[in-house]
Amino acid sequence: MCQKYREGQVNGETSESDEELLERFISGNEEAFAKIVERHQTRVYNISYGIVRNRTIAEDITEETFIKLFLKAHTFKGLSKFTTWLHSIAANTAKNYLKTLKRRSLEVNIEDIVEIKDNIVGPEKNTEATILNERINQALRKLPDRQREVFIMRHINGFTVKETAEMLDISSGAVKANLSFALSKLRDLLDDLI
Amino acid sequence: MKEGDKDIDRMDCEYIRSLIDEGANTDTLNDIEQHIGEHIKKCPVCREHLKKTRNLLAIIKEAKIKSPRADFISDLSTSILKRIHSIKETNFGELIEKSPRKVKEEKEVKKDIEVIEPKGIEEKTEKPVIKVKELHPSKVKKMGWLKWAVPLAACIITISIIITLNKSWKAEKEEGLIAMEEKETGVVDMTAPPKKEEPELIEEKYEKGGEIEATAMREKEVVEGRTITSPAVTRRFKVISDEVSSESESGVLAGHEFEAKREVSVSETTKPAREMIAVETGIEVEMKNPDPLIPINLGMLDPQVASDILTEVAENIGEEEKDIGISYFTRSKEDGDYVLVIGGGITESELSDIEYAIIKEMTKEAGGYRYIKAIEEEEAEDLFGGI
Repeated sequence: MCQKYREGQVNGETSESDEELLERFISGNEEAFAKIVERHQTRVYNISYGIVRNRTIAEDITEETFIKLFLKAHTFKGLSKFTTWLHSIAANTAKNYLKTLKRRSLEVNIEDIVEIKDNIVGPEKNTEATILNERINQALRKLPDRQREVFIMRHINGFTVKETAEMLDISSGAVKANLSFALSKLRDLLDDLI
Repeated sequence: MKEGDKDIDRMDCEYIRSLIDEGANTDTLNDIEQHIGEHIKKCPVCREHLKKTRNLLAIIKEAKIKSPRADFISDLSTSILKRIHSIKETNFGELIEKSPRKVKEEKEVKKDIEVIEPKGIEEKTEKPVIKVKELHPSKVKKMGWLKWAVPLAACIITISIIITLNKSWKAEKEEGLIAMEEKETGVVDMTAPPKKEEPELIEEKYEKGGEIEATAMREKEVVEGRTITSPAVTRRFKVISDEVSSESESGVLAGHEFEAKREVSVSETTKPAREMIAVETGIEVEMKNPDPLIPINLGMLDPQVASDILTEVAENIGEEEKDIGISYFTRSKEDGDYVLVIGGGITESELSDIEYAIIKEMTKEAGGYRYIKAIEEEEAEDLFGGI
C-alpha cells in the first residue's frame, strides 16, 4: 500500500507523484492539496489512531496533520520521502497530544484498537469474530505504549522497520527490540488461540 | 551451530528466535525458515516458536485499525480547506506563518507594479515609465483598516502608559509619606487603609520545605535527538524552590550521552485546582522518597532507553541481549551507594551469570552497585508501564 503511494500509482492508474502534487500545491494549486489529502488521509488516520486509540481524537489529529502540511509544505526540502515526512508529522502530532494530556493529568477514553475484518459469514462465526476481536484488543492494551505503537505500525499498518523507526524517531534496533518484546508478550497472552 | 553437533546450542536458539521475532512477517518467515531449516528440524522449542509466531501473525493479519466515520473521510479535504480559509479571513490570519497561499498572494501583489520598458518613439525617453496598476483588493482593504486602527492603537497605548505611571507615582508617594511619618513619630497610623498585599499563593502553601503530591513525568533526550517520556508517577514531593518547574540531569552512561529532564504537574483528579495553578506557575520539587532511594541515571530514563543501553552493553561484551527487566537504577540516600531495582519480582539469586555480567558492565561507570532490590511486577507496571 505504501509502495503504491510512493510510485504515484492509485487504483492502477498512473497519476502524479506526491512530490509533483506538493510542488503544484506550493505554487498555489489547492486542488493538488485536496488530492494529497485524499491520497493519504486513511494512512495518516491509521497512524494517529494507533497512537491515541480514540476515533474522535485520531480524526482531529488527522485534520491537524494536514493543516500543518498546508502551512509547512514550503519547508519540505526533499531530504526524505514525502510520505515519511507526512507520517512523521502525524506521529509527532499524536504523541504531542498525548504528552499534553499527560501533563494535565487528563485521560483519553481508550477504545478498541483493531477490528477483525468481517469476512466471516453466519451468526456463529460472527460470535467467534467478536471474541477474537475482544481478545486481540485486550492483549494489545496490555502492551507498554512503545511496544504497542511499534507493533501496530509494523504488523497492522504494514510499515517496514526502517519506516517505523523514522516515524517514531527511534533507532531500527529499538524497533526490533520492541517488536521482539511485543511478540513475546502477545504469544503468551494469546497462547490458547495460536 | 556446527554441523554434526548433537546437542542444540542454547545461544543458537536465542539467536534463531530473535531472528524470527525481528524479521517476522508472513512473507519473510518462509525465507527465515529456509535459512534456519536445519536448526528448526532439530529443535522442537524453536519449531514451536516459529509455529506460534506464524499463527499469531495470521490472526493479526485479519485485524485492521478501527475505521473513521465515513463522512469524515469524504469531507476531510473540504473541511480542512474551509478551516484554513476561515482562519485567513480573520485578522488572526496575519499571524499564520508564511504559508504557500500567502506566498501566492505576495506574488500577485508584486504583479500590480509593472516596469514598462520604453519602446519605439518612447525610446527617446531616458527613464523607464513606471505604471502603477490598481492595488490588489486585499491590500486596499488592509490599508483602509490601518488608516484608523494605527492612530487609535497609538492613543490607547499612550493613555494606558500615562495612567500606569500616574498610579505608581501616587502609590510611591503615599508609601513614602507614611513611612517618613512613622519613622519620625515612631507611631504607626492604624486608621490608614491597609496596604494592598500581593497574593502569595505559592509561598503561603508551598513554602520551601513544604510538601506536595504531584505527578512526575520523566523525560529524556538522547544525543540522536530522540525524546522519550516515561509513564507518570504520582508521589509526594518536597518543595525546594519556587522558581522553576523542572530539573535536569546530564552525563554519560554506558557510552550514551544523555540529558534527562523531569517535569512536574499535579494530578487533577487528586488535588484541587489551586495546587495545580501553583505547580504550573513553577515550583521546583524534589522527590521525597518513600524508601530512602533517589532516582538517578537509569532511574531517570525511559525503560526503552535503559533497554538500549543494555543492548549496547550486551553487544560490547559479545553476548545476546537478555530480557532481565532492569529498569530502575537508584542511589541510596543514606550511604550514596548504587542500587539496581529489577522489575517483575526477579530476585538476585534468580539472575544468571550473564545477567550479572551485564549488570556489572552497566553499572561500571557509576561505580558499581551494592545490592539489588527486587520489586513486584505490579509495582514495576505502575512505575514503568510494564517491562
